[in-house]
Amino acid sequence: MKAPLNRRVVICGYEMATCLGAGLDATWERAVNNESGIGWLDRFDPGEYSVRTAGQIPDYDLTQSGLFSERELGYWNARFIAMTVDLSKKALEKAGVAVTDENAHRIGSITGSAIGGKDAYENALNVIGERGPSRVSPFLLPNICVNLPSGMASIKLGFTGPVYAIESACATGAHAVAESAHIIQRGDADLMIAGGVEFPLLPAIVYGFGNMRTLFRPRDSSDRAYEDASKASRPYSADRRGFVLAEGACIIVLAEAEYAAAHDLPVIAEVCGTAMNSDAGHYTQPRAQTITRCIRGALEDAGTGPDEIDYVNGHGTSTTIGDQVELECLGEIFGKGISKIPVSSNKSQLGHSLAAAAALETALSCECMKRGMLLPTLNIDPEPEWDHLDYVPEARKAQASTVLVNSFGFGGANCCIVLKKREDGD
Amino acid sequence: MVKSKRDPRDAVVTGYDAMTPLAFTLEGSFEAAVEGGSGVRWTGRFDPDEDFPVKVSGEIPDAHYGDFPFYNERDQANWFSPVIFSSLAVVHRALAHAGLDARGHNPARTAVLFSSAIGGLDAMIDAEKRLSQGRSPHPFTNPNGCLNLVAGKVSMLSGATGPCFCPVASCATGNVSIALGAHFIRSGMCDFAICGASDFPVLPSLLASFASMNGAFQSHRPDDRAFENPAMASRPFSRDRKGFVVSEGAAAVILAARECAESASLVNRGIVRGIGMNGDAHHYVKPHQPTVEQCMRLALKDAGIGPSDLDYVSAHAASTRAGDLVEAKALNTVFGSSSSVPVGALKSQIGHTMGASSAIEAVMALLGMGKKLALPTINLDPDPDINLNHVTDTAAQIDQKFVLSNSFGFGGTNCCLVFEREEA
Repeated sequence: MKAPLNRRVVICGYEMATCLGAGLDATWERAVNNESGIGWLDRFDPGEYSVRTAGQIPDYDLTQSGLFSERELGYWNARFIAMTVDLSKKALEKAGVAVTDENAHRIGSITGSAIGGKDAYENALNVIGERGPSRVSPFLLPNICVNLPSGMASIKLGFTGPVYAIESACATGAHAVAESAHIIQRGDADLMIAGGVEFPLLPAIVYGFGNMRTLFRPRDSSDRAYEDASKASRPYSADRRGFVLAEGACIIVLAEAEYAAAHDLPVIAEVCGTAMNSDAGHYTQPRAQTITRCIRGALEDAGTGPDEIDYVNGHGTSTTIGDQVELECLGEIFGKGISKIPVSSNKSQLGHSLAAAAALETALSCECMKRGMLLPTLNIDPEPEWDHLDYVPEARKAQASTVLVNSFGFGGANCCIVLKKREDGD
Repeated sequence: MVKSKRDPRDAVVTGYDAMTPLAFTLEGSFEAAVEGGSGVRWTGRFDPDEDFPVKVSGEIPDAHYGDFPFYNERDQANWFSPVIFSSLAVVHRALAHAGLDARGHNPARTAVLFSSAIGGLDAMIDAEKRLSQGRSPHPFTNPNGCLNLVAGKVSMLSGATGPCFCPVASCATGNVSIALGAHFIRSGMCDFAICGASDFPVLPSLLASFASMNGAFQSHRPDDRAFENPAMASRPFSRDRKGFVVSEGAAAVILAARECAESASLVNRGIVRGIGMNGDAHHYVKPHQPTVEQCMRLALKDAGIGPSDLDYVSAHAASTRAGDLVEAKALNTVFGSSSSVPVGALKSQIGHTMGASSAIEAVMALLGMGKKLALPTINLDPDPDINLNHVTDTAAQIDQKFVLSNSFGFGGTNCCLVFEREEA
């Protein structure tokens, strides 16, 4: 057995696609402008169904970076695959990393998706119905393998370190980052490409979540989102009514700190603490006791007291029970100090992109530290019991240097991360 | 001979269980495997049309819910995907085998990494069918279809509240699950880990698409030896191998830190001694010999042993043209072509249970180490291009201290494990 190496892990770059824009810069520009990416669902016709809002990535050209031709995108018709590969390439570029013969075996990838290639699968079912079993694409199976996005990134970009996927629903992106950090810490890689990619706007998925009563639908014509979709996602608000399902994708490059310094990689933040646990409770209802323990575990792992946290990037999905339990847990941990710590939910602007959400929130937290800005909780109209919190109603200048990122998955899988601001040479 | 160091954070196997096309129980599966039986039969989960390309599969016989008090009629109606039931059943039996009640052994220190490669795809198919008939999907569609609910339900069953997620690595999923459990125990993130995987891929759309990618075995020719006998369809390392047989299966492995296993007087059934993981960076289904070799070497290096210390290799060998050849050549390179290490391919008897396969192979190898039995490759008509010391027909009596269990997944995801059996 190898001795623990206790290597430090830093974040060197990231790239994303969200309903606010097809890239980090486009997303950031609109996010600091307090805009919402939520609109009317038009990926398919929901007919008379009551769920009508969604977050949709605007035009994103997957052929532009030259990794996939139009013809290849015809084979690889599960969109999460090409998107993962494309963003992995761009994130490596942002981190200033070139894959070479020397470093290829020291670079790996963990990504995940909750819905995965079900778009390709749905397409195949139509083919079977219309044209028979022999016309099913030979690429169907690879398209629906959840580990293929990381696998295709390894194939297209040439790295041969550990490659697999993680699935933990809404916490997937956080688990991918945390596990990548563990791989680097124990010395099995120097660089990891981590994240989550989600294209969930398929009829069966929307109706399935809708029938579970977890998705936003307006109460009646007096609902503030009845005619304005941008008001639908309202985490921590008194009138929140479920989450808005969204497309989203984010890939983050992590590196061992000394490797980053030796190779002059840009350093944005350090992954100082991670914790993961499980509710062992209910398949959708969160459990305060284990969530509190998860947050405390991340703080302990980082060697950070609650009083050192100067921003909380909340899980806040906009469900009645989920947001309530998260606020109770934050209240328990931070005590009276909670009113002094800004807490905001990126899902108010981006909706809930399931496996991608926590990766996006980790990257946006880094970007907030780097730029000295905090992103808002849009549409906030808090409950009287919780109106003493600072939800960051509008984006503002503020220098956060220690950030807690929360994520709690459907099925009871929790993962919390503590990030500290670092600059090159720190 | 290697003298192994005993570390308090070694990942000790304390219990395991499996259900396979050979039998619903582990004992039944192992007995049938020792005798050289096959679990591959004509497909019975659905009725393939005359022109349906695949007609054989491995299906778990005689699954019954009655023995499992946690799976009452309401649970059966809500959690209708067999992936969920089988996962809970093998974990329940494996915990009993370990003599462990996660609730009684510090649930916060017990991780759940139990997983699946395909998950509850059957639930999504059911939803599509209902939608096409103008009906609403079952309200439990997404919970059944959401892959991480496999781990989530295991956590709810066991009460374990440690780290919990599903690692997915196609055909290597089971091994990756065991590897991560061992890493978590070594690093102190948890004291116990519930690992393994379940897959139920015998669905028309999956079989048809494996056929269209020329992965699955198809018998159209009357002169094929499986034309009238499906038990001959899965034939790894044979000259006439023509693809894998899609099968159902599930297996669970319960790991504990040595210090915790000892203080709780749990039986030590083996150690996860070596772990190798890497990626091919080559092709989405074709294997790549240099990285396959590298993965085995990483596992041996992590175990601190050389190839000559191994007593048996449980091969990945799925019965595909390219895959079996690459694995055999990689074994030759790593071990030297004069090596006589015995090799067996359990998929010859069970078929390919996707993500569950490496978990099942780990469990059967561990049980074989305990019983000094090395499981065979059946249906072997040796390929002259493949030079290995095959265990054939029935199990061989072999003392085994170190065993290598290989798995290589779609997308170029590799994971090899070395298990060690310690002297009592």
